[in-house]
Amino acid sequence: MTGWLDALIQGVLLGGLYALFAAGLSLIFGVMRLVNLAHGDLIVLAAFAILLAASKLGLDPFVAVLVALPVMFVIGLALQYVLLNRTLGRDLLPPLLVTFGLSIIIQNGLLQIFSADSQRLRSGAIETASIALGGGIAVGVVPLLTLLSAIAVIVFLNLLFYHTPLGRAFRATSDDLEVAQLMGIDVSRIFAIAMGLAFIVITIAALYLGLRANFDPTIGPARLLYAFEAVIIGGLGSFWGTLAGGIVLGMAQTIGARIDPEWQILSGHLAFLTVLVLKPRGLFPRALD
Amino acid sequence: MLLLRTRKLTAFYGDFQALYGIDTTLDAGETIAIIGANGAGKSTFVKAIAGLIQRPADSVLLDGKPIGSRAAADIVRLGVALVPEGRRLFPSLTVEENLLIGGYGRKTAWPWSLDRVYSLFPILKERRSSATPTLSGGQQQMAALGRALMSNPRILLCDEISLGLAPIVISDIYAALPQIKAEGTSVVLVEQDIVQAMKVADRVYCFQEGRLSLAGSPQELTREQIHRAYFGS
Repeated sequence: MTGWLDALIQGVLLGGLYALFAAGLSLIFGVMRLVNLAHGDLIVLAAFAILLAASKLGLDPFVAVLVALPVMFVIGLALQYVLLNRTLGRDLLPPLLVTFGLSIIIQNGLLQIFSADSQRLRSGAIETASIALGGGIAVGVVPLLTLLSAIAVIVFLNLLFYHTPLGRAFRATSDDLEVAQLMGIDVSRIFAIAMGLAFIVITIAALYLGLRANFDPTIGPARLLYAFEAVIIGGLGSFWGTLAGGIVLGMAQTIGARIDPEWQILSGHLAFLTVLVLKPRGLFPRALD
Repeated sequence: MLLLRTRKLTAFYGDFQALYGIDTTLDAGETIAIIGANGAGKSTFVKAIAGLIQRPADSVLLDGKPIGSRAAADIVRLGVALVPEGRRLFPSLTVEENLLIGGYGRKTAWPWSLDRVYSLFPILKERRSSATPTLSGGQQQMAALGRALMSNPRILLCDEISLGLAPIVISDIYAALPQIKAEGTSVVLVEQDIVQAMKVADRVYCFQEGRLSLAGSPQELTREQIHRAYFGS
């Protein structure tokens, strides 16, 4: 019994990581209807950025991430201004092709610079620290921080979207691009800010990705898949849904792994397919669409 | 005083030419009506002024300066607001948020504020927290009008604000016009409802197949002239 309860708790914590993967994807899709196929690779890129800052400046990853955040924000802004804004229009294919190309370029660029070796962000004792909950169950400090960070990110995004002028501009642009311009909204600027914000979320996700497991330049696409699954399980257009989607995916994986370690990934995909069959619009779809 | 002028204004949808050299003027404080049959190019005309459609750089002049190369977001900052055809409120924003987003890029806090729009259309205050798809057609039109006013425009372009509304609702909406004009705002009304347009406009332009077919003040134009300009001879 304890084993199952433990699997559930670990699943919720793992869900925090998937929710972080998914929040950036959901943000970009929500504002500009852009399906970013390079999302997973951008998380890996951010992990390498933190690794670089940590090793070159001799910083702890939790401090190095503060160096990486503004850099990644600017890269996000620039990427949207210089490249992605040009791909957006009536046709859905150009942004798909360009972000797919970007995915290949990032993977190979990272391979070239950092080689195919597995890397990890090292943060000393905190990596293995855990809190005993009693009854033989303990939660790791890093997984717990991951979940808390995911909740903080979701709360922040909700406040931003629903209680600030910038958030109103995001939602208006998402609703009707043409009329948004009639309100004086500079759409390419709004998109660039959204991408910059998404890069901040991506960098936070990268911190926990690197602290929890090894990473190398090729693991991006699998992270993209988990992010997609979490977004779709949760329902498009809802940040809380994204968190729930991440948790459902995380629990499905840990419960699957509890049955048989080989079933971990498969049971995540099965949970995703089940939701897709039973509730094609996700568990918490936006009321108006 | 001349405020806005179009000079040989042309507009295209791909290869299809929708406007053929339209010359119009709008004075400060004036209301003009653009009438014409479906497909005459009336909506294209206001969209071209608002920057939603490409037009020659020197074909639209505001205060004598060409604004034809400016993007839509710049045009509203220059004081030209469009109430688009079909209202097109933002469905995921509440009524109040729709009004607030109307003031997104505005330069002055005067004369229109949330409170003034609510006093112009009290029903919007009651429905301030509602999602806009739950509003009636008339209420939606009021919200769309209020949203445009929130940018404090010098020129208000209204595209078919009476379309699809009951006559009584249309009079409610037109009743707001004097208060809008009292702020010195110039108004361009695109209307299929000729009677309504003739009642409020200082001057009328009639379009036919992308060309100007008639211009004049409502008093001096005869029924026959309008009929011919509207439907062709």
